[in-house]
Order: sequence, then structure tokens, then C-alpha cells
Amino acid sequence: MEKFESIRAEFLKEIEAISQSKDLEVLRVKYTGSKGVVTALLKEIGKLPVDERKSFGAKVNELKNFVETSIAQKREELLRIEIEQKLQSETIDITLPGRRLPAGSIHPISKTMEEIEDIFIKLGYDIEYGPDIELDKYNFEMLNIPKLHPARDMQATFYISDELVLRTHTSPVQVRTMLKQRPPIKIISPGTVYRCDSDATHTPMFHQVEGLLVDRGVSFPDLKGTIEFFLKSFFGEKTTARFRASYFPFTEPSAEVDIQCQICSGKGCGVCKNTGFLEVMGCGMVNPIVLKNADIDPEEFTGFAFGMGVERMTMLKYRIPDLRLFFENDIRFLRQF
Amino acid sequence: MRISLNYLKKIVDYPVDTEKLIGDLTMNGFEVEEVFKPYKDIHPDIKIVDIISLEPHPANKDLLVVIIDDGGSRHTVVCGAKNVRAGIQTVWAPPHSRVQNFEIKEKDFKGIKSSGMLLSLEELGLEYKSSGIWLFHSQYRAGTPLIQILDPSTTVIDINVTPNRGDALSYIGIAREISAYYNVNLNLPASEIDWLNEPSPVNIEIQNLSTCPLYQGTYADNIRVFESDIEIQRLLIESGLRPINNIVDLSNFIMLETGHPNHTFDSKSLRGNRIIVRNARKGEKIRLLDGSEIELNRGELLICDGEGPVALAGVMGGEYSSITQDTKSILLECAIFNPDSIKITTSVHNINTDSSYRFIRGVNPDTVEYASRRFMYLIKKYLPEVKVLRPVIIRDERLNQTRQIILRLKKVHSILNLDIDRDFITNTLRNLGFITEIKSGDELNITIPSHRYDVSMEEDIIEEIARIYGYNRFESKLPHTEISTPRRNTYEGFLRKIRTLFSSLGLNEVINYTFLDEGTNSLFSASKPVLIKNPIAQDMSEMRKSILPSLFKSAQVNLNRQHRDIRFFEVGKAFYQDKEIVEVERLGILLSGRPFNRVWSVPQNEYDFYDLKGIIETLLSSLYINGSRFVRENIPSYLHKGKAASIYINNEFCGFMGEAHPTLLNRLDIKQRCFIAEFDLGILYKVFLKNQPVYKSYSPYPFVERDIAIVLNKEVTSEDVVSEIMAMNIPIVEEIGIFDLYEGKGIEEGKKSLGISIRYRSKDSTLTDAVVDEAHTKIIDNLLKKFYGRLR
Repeated sequence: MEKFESIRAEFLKEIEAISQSKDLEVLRVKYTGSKGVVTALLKEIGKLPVDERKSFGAKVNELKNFVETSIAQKREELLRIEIEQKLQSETIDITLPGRRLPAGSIHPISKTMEEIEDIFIKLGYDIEYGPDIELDKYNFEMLNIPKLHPARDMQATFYISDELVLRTHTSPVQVRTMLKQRPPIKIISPGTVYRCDSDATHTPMFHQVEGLLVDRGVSFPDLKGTIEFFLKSFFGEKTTARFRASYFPFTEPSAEVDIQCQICSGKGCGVCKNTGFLEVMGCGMVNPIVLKNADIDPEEFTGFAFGMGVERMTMLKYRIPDLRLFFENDIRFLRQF
Repeated sequence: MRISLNYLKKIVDYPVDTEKLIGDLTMNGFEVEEVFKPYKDIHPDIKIVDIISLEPHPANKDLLVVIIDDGGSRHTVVCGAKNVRAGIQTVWAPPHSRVQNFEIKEKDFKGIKSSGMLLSLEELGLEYKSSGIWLFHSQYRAGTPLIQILDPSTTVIDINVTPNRGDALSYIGIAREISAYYNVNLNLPASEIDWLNEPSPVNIEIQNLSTCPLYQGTYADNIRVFESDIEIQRLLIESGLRPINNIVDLSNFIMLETGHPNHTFDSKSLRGNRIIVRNARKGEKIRLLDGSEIELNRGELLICDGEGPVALAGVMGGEYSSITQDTKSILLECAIFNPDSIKITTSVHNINTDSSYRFIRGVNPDTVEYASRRFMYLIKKYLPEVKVLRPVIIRDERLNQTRQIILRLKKVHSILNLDIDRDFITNTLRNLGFITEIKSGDELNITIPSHRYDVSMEEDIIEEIARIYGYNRFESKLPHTEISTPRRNTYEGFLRKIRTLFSSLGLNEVINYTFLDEGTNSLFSASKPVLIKNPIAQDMSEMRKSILPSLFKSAQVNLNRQHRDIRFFEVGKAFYQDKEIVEVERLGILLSGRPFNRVWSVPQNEYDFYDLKGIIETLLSSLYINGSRFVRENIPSYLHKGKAASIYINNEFCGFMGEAHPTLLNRLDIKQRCFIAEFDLGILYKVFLKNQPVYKSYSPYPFVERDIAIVLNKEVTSEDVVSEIMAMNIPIVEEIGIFDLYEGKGIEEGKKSLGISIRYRSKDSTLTDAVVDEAHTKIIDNLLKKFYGRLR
């Protein structure tokens, strides 16, 4: 019996000292291998008297189980330690910068255009495009701005020839659409426009999004609701708008739309020139002359139109102080959007 | 239009404070753009003084020694102004007073002590540039502090009058508008005058009443020309005009007050004592008040005397007949000219004046008489000895017609969607000067007042009702319209796909002006450019023919700011002149510097041809475009001929790519390699629309990959090799890749080694080695034979 005890004690001492898997394997062979100490004991069972066999066998099996379990546990422990050591040795400086791709960007004007378009697409508007080089007829005359009309001075014009201009607004797209499509018409026309003007607050090229809706029974409250829906979607739910009387040759009645100044919440500041309001767009009910020019009966159909400068909307949204930053394309500017 | 509120209040006593007035004007379509107090900085010690005498400075002939009286005592002031004279008043800043934040000190001018300073309007901050000190007559005693007359609380507002409201380009016009808001009366300034019933010495003829339907000429004698009274001068200053002399100032004052541009001739200078209104004959010339001489070729409307032109009608007077110090008698012209005639003159000669501005927007014929009387009333107020003769009036009978419109309440409702009370409509219109009569239950007969030239149809009246009702009182709702079928795969969606892809690939979108200078434009295309007739600057006189110069411009800006790594794209139009003008949508890319920022863990090589090509391949595959080919033909001169390609999709040309030619970079002063590409977006969009993805099944069986390393002549392209394998039409060849290219040690001159990997896969079974071996050997044998290669 002491033999068992001493084997067990010897085994425990040896397994305790082991720190590598390969030594554990040697230990396993020494005890439970075919010539191992425990295996030898197992072989002794048959040589014993019958009455001793049972108890001796039980003890040997217990010892064998103990050895095997201990080795298995030790193996797992060693594996855990080895992984632990491997991980330890693989530790890196996690504060070094990552292997990142350069930061690309979409121009803020494009971003704003997309945002404006999405709002109107949600309302079921289609997008229409037109040429930048436009007929005087579509840019002015069919919009109730005949030659010599003082309203032409509102839009300093680049001329290509007597009949061709660089469009001063995207309104000619409205004309083109009305000429090819019968009401209901529900479109927006984003695009590049040009005016012969260059100073701190004007660039000779800029961007507009205009909209037109012509249908039966369209009235001024529809225009107001649509503009308010748009402004709240674009600037945030809390945005408040006010409509002021104004003049555009192609709408009657006409309005300018202001929103409460975002910077000072209407208290008055430098950005809103102490008025508490910021002008954001123009709009109005389509002038019946414009409808008639497109062969649409103003007694049957009415409509509204609106337009906004994309640069201005972008400046208000991102608080960009200078219009010229848009066309300079400094990488430090572009990357911010 | 600048309006001084003190004076406005005399014409219309509005019952609200300034802030409310400004708000109401703005909401009603008369946006107040600026509010300022012109006199707020005038120092209280500055006084009105009488000029007693003057003599030249003994030591400096450019200076004058002036004796002034400040009501209590006399002072000596040394002054350099040329216009000083005795017997008139001016403004004196005594020592220790302040002028524009400078303290005035007693100063010695070569032995003569100057006590303070005589001031010009410029020094008072009331004029941009003065040519002398401010001189005036007034009823105020010497010694009166200037701020007692120019009250620092005086408020001026600047109103943006829209082009349709020419009737409001005057004090009376604005007052009339305001009177409608608050239902208060107008106090029209006095104009009573007794004409002398003598025949006018000046005869007036009008050749064509359509161009000049009304002309009132009033002759006045016993005139003296000198500086205006301070009351007239201050009103001009507040309204932004420069005082000149009593006659010119009155003329301007009447224009500001009544809205009637008018002109005064020195009647002595009218040859033949005649005024003829006619169109210019070709080649006629006139020297204008501003000294310029212009030649007339477009039948401009003229005022002529017996011998030739004396004024450009409604635009500017001629120098010859203008008022001078010696003028003793005048002819006052108050007339109506056809706006189109005036517009022709102003646009042909690019002369715009306060007068032409008003005529183009419309002037009311019914108040021509009032304006003439008001002028003469004021002249007699300051010069009682003046004799005014009964005016000569020529008038087109057609002016007598009144204009009427029928307003249907049904129409009001259809546009405004509001049940407005009929009484509100009639009251509003009456306050605005319209006469309304009820024609039937639903219809009103409306007579338009003569000053409202902008009103010509029902909708114009509806706007008047809506704006006075208040736009912000209307409800807001969303329109009920039919919902139409949404469009699919829109062009906008296509552009967004490109923008999103490129920005994810690390490219920055730029947007540039589409204008260019001739030199740069010609570098990128030989086609004929579209020219702008009136460019804003010479280097912006052509429309770009390519988007590449725009990208180079953005690159230059950034390179000049030490940003070396450029990864730009731009989407936009290019233009050229064919039989007609052509506009094309283009996509441009420019890469330069390094693909990655300088970071410890990534290779620091510079962009090359294959970086750009990779981006293009990624673009095409994300647009579902396959079948693209990169071909070395028709390479434009701005590209490096060895590193450039024309790109074809399904055998249609769609763009170029490559390294920028060193000569181009020299021209543009760019010192690092640039890789550029330009696409015709129309073609990409067309293919994109056709190639929308459709599911294709794929094999469930594993693949086998085999490599070939083959030594070939340098001229053999990878495309040659791949096409050759493809042409063998072996069904189990799934994919061919080029994984290695090697030249140099171990490979003879003129040869290269290409590493080709072929992936084999069958659609209906797992491949066996034997099947793959057979195919692979066939391919190798074929390549060796075809390209005279050897295995490496």
C-alpha cells in the first residue's frame, strides 16, 4: 500500500516541476506508457491472489486515473501559459497611427445639393436638367422678362451671342419642362448658374436649386407649406420661417423667405446684420403670363415656383464665412465635409 | 433708395415707431437693407460761422487767412480750400473739438496762428470726397451748434425698391405706400405758385409723342446761382446726393421728393430759343455734363436746341447748356419719356443715372405738373425775386386713358385659398389708391391709379391684397397632387455613386469655375472654344473645353500651399463650338504625390500609372461596366506618350488617362508628376443604364490554381497573353491573373518575365489533376509557340 503512496508522491513532485509540454509527455510515458510505472502495476494484478485482486485493481485504476487526469490538467495549464506568453511577446504600441486610407470627401456644394434634392424627392418631385448655355428666350423672355426690362438688371448677364446667355438661374429648366410636359408638373432643377458679378458676396458662377409645381387647385398656402417643410427638413425641426412680399417677374404674388438667424436665435448679430433673420430663398405663385407662354391655361392650372442659392444654404448650414472658399478647393477646406 | 425719416414724417405722420415702420416696410416688399444715423459722430462744439473776410497767407500763396465770426467773437483760421469766400456760412471746428476722433488743436502756419479748422463735408464724414469746405446759406445765426440743425438722432433708412415699384423711388412714393399701411393721410408738400401770364420765350416741339408723351417746360427769370440753403443741402446729403448749387440741388431735391427726374437748361444757351425732342441722327455727337463726348448711332432720344443736341433725354444733360455761376434764366424740363427709349441709351452707352433709373422703371405723368410747381415754389421761397412764366405743356391725349381691371373674388380664392372679406379687399385697395366698384356679387371693377404702372392684371391686384393682409397670416399646407411613378436609375443617382465611390477611395471632390483663359484652354483641346462676349476678366473669357485645366488649377492652389499629395476629382460640364455649341458632362481625375499619407507603416512610393488605372478599373466595375479596353492610340499631346491610354467601352471611346506630359507641367509650373484622366460621363451613364446587375449562378466545386512564369519579348503586352489564352476557349479557365512582372538580372536585354496565374474550375464536377494538367499544358505550349517564349 505504501508503494502506491510513494508513487503518487513521486508523481506529484515530478509534475509540479514540469514547465514545458515536452517534459509532460516524458512524464506520461514514465507512468502510463507501455513500460510505465503504473502500467507495470496493472500487469501485476493478474499475478495476485484472487481475493486481493479486486482491491489492488481498484487502487491501481484509481492511481492511473489520477495520473491521467493530472497530466491532462497540467497540459491544459501549460497550453494556457504558453499562449499567454506568446501573446505577451506579441504586444505592440497601440498608440501608433493606424494604416488608414487618405480621407476623401464630397464637395460641400454637392453635399448640400444632394440633401436638398433628397427632401424634394421625398415629396415626389423629379429632377430635371438643362443646358448652362441657354437661349435668351428661355432664360428671360418666356419668364416675363422681355428685352429692356429693368428686372434684367437684377441679374447681370454673361452673353455668348445676342440670343445665347450663360443662364442666370435654373428657371429656364422650368420653361423647358412646361413646354414638353403637361400638368401635373412637379420638378426641381439643380445646376450651375452665372452672373457677371464678383466681390466678397458674389462669385461669377454659383449653384441653384429651383422648384416648380403646376397642377389644378394649387394655392399660396401650398407654397408656404412646401417651403416650411423644406426648411424644417434642411435646417432642423425648430426652424421658423417668415415670408416677405417681394418681386420676381415670373411669379405673382412673390415672396422672399427668411429664417430666424441660426447664430443668435433671432436676437440680432453680425451674421444677420442685427435683423434676427437670414434671407434663404425666393418664391411665388407662377405668373399667369409664364403659364400662357408655355401654353398652359392659367384659368385651369395654377402653380408655385421657388429657388435658392446652394452656396448660401451651405454657408448657413456649416457656418462658412466666405463664399470664395468654395472655389479655392484647399484640401484643408474640402476634408471638413 | 435712401429715406431720411425726419423728412418722411413731415409727408406722412405714421403712427408707429421706427422699428415697427422698418419691419412693416420690409414685410410689405420694401426691404430695409440698412439703418444709420449720419450725424451721430458730429462733435457738439462744432458750430455754424459767418465768413467775414479773407486774404492770402503772406508766406504761402496756397493758403488763405480767413476771419470768421462765431456769433460772439472773431477768429482767424488758416485754410487751404479754394472755394472760401466772404458773405457765406460754413462749419467751424474750434480748438479742442473733435473731428472724426482727431482733436483739433491751435496750429501755427508759418507765423499765423490758426484757431481751429473750417470743415468740408468729407471731414464731417458726410461725403466720400470733397473739393472744398462746406458752404451754405441758412436762417441760423452764427454760433449755432451744428448738431442743433444736423440732429444726431436723425435716422436714414436704405430701402431696396424692387424694379416693379418705380412709383416708390421718392419720398412721396414711399409715404403713399406707408399711408396705406396705417390708413393715414398724405401731407403733400406745398406747391402753390402764380405763373406770370407771359408767353414763354422758348418754343417746344416733340417729333414723336410715343417716345415723349408729355413735356412741360417752365421758364424762370431773375435767377442767381449760389450755394443752397442748408435745409436743402442736408436732405440731399441724407439721401446720398452731393450738393452743387441752388438750381442743381433743387432739381435733385424735386426728383427725390416727387420721383420726377427733371432737367434745368440755362435758357440763354438754347440756340434759336427752341427745344426739340427727337431721335439722334447717325453720327451726331454730344458732350455731356460729366465732360465725356459720345457718338450717337442708335437713334437715342435727344433734347435739342435750334442747332443740335443739348441733352440725352432722361439720362444726362449736355455740358453746353448746363447751369453755371452766370446763369440768369432757366428752362425747367419736367417730362415723361418712353422707358424703352431710355433703356436703349443707357445700355448702348453704359450710362446710368438717378434720372434714367427712374424713367426706366416708370414715372407718373399725372404729377408732372405738381413737380414743376413744387420746383418753382421752392425757388421762389429762397429767391423771391424770381419771375416764373406760365409753362408750355405738350401732352399726348392717350395719357388720359384710365386703366381698369375686373377682379373676380373666385380668382382671389383660387390663388390665395382664403376667404377674404370683400370689405377688406375694397379698403385695402382704396388705401393703395385704387378705385373699386362692385360690378356684381363676385366681381369688382378696379381702376388702377396712374402711378401703379406695375399693375396690369388680376394677379397683380391679388398680390396687393395678399401682401397687405400679411403673408405670414396665411395657413401652410402641403399640396395634394397625384403621386407619379418615381424614376429609376436617375443621372443624379449615377453621379452620387461616383462621388461616394471616389470619396471612399480617398479622393477629394473639387468644384471650379467653368471659365478659363485662352492660353490654358487651348492646351487641352484643339476644338473651337465657346467665347463669352462680356467676360468678367480677361483670364475668364472662354468656357472650358476640358475639365482637366480646372483640376490643375486646384492642384496648383494646393501645391503652392505645400500640400504635396493631390487626389482630386471633378464632375462638371465642358463646352465647345461645333456646328452648334456642345455641352458635355465630364469626369476628371488628377493624382499627384503619394497615394498614402506619410505614415510609419505604409510604403512611401509616389503615384504611378497603375494607381490611376486601378481607380478607373474600380470605378468601371462598380458601375457594372465590363469590356473596357485601354489602348495606346490617339494619345493627346498633353499626355506622356509611353504612359497613356485611350479608354474604350464596348469599342466606344469614352476617355483618356495617363501621366501628364512634362511640357504641360512646365507650362503650368508644376514640379511633380501628375496622373490625369478625363471621361465622357454621358457614355458611362449610357452603359451603366444598360448594365444593371442580373444574378449569375456560380459553381459549387473547388478551383485549382496553376502558375506560369514565362519569358517573353518586351513588346508583348499582358493583354496579348491574356487574349491568347481566352481565345483558346477552354471552358474550365475561370480567371487569369498577372501576379508578377520582372526585368533585369537573370533575364536577357529586351525580354521580360511574366507571372501568370490561371484559376480552373468546372461547373459540374470537382476537377481532377489530369484534366487540369491537360488544359494547363495546352496553354503553356500555345503561349511558348505563339510568343517565342521560354519557361523560367
